[in-house]
Amino acid sequence: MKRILPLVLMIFIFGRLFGEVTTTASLTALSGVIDTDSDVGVVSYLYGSVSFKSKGNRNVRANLQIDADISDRVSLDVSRAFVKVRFPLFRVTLGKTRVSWGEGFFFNAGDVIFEGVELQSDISGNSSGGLSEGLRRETAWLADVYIPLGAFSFLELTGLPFPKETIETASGSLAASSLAIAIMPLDFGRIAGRLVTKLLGVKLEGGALYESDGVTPYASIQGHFFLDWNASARLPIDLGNGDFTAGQPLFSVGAFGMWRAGGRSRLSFRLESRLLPDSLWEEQDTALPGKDPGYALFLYGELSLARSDSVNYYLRSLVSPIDRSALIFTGIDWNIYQGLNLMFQASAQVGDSNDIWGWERFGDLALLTGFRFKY
Amino acid sequence: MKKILILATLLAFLSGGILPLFSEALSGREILRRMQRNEIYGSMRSEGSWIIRDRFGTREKTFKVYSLGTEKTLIVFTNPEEEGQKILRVGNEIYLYFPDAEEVIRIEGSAMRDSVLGSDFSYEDMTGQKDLLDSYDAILEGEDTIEGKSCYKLRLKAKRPDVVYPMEELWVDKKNYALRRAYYYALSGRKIKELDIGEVRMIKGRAVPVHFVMRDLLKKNSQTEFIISKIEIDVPVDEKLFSLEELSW
Repeated sequence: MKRILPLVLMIFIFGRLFGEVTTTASLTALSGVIDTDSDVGVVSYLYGSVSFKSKGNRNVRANLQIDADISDRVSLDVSRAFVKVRFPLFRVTLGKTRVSWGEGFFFNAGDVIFEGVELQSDISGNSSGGLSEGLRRETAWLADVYIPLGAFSFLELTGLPFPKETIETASGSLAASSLAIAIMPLDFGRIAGRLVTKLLGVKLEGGALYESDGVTPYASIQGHFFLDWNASARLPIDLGNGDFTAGQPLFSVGAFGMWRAGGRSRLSFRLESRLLPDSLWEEQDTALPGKDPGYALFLYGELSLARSDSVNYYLRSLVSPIDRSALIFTGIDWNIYQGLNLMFQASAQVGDSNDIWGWERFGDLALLTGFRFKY
Repeated sequence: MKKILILATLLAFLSGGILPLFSEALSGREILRRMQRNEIYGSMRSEGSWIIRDRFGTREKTFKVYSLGTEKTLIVFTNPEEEGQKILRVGNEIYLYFPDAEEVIRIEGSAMRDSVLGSDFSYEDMTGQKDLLDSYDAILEGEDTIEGKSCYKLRLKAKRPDVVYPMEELWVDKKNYALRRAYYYALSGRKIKELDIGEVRMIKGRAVPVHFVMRDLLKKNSQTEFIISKIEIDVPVDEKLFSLEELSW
């Protein structure tokens, strides 16, 4: 905390003196009750974020963002700190940020860099500006080169000097402290490349991630046929053992549709699935709460009704068909004043005591209310 | 002699004797076409805002718009809540960019009718995708005066079931074919929205609405005000703006 504050003050003051800076902040404060199996507990927490973005230069962009998770403890993270420079034929990004590879909203087999969304993900979206941002909060230190190949095609090469485990540990911790590791063995690093183009109205993306012990090629497609649809696949190949069949293929498919529901109301639905065909198709007796024992199939469903320009009702569910358990989340999001959203939320777990999600477990039922304010 | 007479009659027709009669007898479809022609530019740069007012107060969103022909539009949001979010339309495709997620999303089909940032406007509306002539039959019902301006009154009936409003009434300025007022009806025939054009600016021979107010009659004290604070028409706009590279920049 002591290290971060002078840094923030310095950037704020120097930014004001020497360049144009856009400063935005967001705070999400939630409070409610949660069933702790044997009792009912009160839960209160706050997510905060301050972002300093450069502006005014058409060819250089920079962003420093500090996130805080605050409950009875405070956890700080420099989630973004990068400089992006545009040259006539390509652009370069250096620093801590994120890249979005592959296709898919919740499940995305094409996201070889951030591995897509895991089951522990926060489907409430409370930890950031909403579900989309909440699911894509993870960032990593990277060096990225983006080469446009026309209006809708590009080649992108990314180098990640730090191993995946470091990224996961850094998420939610003080990554920019003096303990941050600056020198890593070359073998720990990862490099990745992708080519994105469009053919006959279908977006095509293909690429691969290379690391010391293996390579993971992937492909994603996205198009429209009655519904917006997407599909992604990846196949990890173990180069260390020379075994090209050791890795499990991973697939994700999804569909999205939206309809008018009278007046200004709009009803939208999304259905996605994650498939690991070589994994477990039978229910395990030893599933830990919220942990995937290695099941082959998961589903994500979302139903949303926007009743007006400011009120949105939603129902989201993460389903494990193999052990017939589910995490259900529902809520109302009301943009009541400029920048302010009022939220009412409820979540429930459905399943047996040895399923991934289950009734009569810690957190089987929770009711929350709070605000999100961005300014 | 007969030929000269025919020619003279034809000239008389064209030089003003009969031509005004033709213009007086414009069809509803032709009036609608001329109204929409006002909105087609070779290129355009503008800045503006929309302000949602209801009983809880005011919410404002600000944006910049760039367009090239009728096929390419880029909208960049500049208010703190949505800063950096962009919408790119090229032809029939719309791409959205969310800077926090560093993600580009391509939408097609029904998703194009989704509301832009919770406003009364859809992606179709905002990016000029919608052509009223494709969706509606236009009937000229007569003439009326709106705020001292002599207007054609049109009734639009939907040709397709998937339009937002099955029926619309439009008042189009007889002088410059600018839209002056619009009423929007539900299938039941109930009026659900009113649009009033507050200011029309003549820019390079086109009548451009720069201030209008949409009232939602289903909600008490609710209206969306749309203000174009700065607009330039037929100015150089870099084609590179309408690419994935610029979108994700």
